[in-house]
Amino acid sequence: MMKRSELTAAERAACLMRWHDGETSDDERELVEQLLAQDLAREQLASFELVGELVREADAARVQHLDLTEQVMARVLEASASKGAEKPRANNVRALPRRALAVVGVALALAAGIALVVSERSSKLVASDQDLAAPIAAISAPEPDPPGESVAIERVDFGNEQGAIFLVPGVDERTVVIWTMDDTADADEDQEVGL
Amino acid sequence: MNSGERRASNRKSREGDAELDNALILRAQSGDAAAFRQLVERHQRAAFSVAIALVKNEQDAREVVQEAFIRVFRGLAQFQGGSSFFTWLYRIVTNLSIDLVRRPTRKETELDESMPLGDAPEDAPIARPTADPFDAVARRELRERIEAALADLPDYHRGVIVMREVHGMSYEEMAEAMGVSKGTIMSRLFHARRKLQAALADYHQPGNVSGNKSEPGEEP
Repeated sequence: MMKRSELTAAERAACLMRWHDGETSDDERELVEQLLAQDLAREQLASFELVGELVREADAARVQHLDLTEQVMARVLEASASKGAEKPRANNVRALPRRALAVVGVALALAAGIALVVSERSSKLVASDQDLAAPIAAISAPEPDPPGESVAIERVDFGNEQGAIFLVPGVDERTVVIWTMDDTADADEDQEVGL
Repeated sequence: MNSGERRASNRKSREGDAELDNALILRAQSGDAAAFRQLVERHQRAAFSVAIALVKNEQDAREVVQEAFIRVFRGLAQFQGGSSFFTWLYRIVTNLSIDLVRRPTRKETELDESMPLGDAPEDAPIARPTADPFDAVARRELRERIEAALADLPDYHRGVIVMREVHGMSYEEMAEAMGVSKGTIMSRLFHARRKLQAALADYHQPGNVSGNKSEPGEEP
């Protein structure tokens, strides 16, 4: 254990500070008791006390009227609301491919149905009847993709509407783009789905 | 109440506080907004006093406290109760405040933690006003001096003084809250106190202990 006489003024003050803060180790306890026999050490301790009291008074004066509860709770509500709003957005993102797939599925089923009807009719109709026929839909059979060509276009006549199905091959998948002619402003929206 | 009694009372009261906090946290974790509100009411002033000690600006401190509680709210589900709520909160407040004061647009007094303890000014005990008719005036004067001295301290020094003197945190708790070693906390606290003592050192009042008195037998 260090002797009282071996301590510098700063070490003595640090030792008393730990005592004041209740952080004195068992080894230091005896030393502090020796130190406290001196007036100077007791004065030092008293000054720590006074500084502490004044800091507490200054703090109390500063915070006594503080009340941030409403602001905090408003922000908490805001945060939880935005957290809640994020979920549907996430659901929307997940729902989008399912919806698009359904649209493409319906379109493909329709196209297959039309192709079946047309092939049956064409086998029955004679060449002269073709001009008179009011086809519900006529599909020009897609040309096989030539080497190097990447897009297949199937023209579709949906009665009053004209349209086309684009089959765009990718690396691992094909993208189907259904395009229809429409008079409305938003009619040229394409639906694009990776298959 | 002397410092020993105050320490004991602090510890006891903090143990009770921690139990109540844990109960409120459990309720808040299950979605009880009233419980969270109570946590805010209980800890906002303490959080503010640490924040303002570090950022020195009331508006910034208010912002830090609000943001700290938002982070607490977001992290409630992860809070296991292993560390006490107030240590967790103080850590958030400290980190937010440090981020704020480190922004390039802010200027703050530089830290002087590299200064060894031996270079600190010599002991300069200060006078303590006694209960005389001028006591209230003297006390106010001392408080003003302390406030001015606190304002001149580097942010980290103010932070530890407030954590220790106002909230009675142990060195260990302060080290955890500030993310530094216990030794660093001791050093900061020591230098902070020396500066605050120095600010009061020339305060003399008849009948009080002189600030420059040497102890008999003590080497100058």
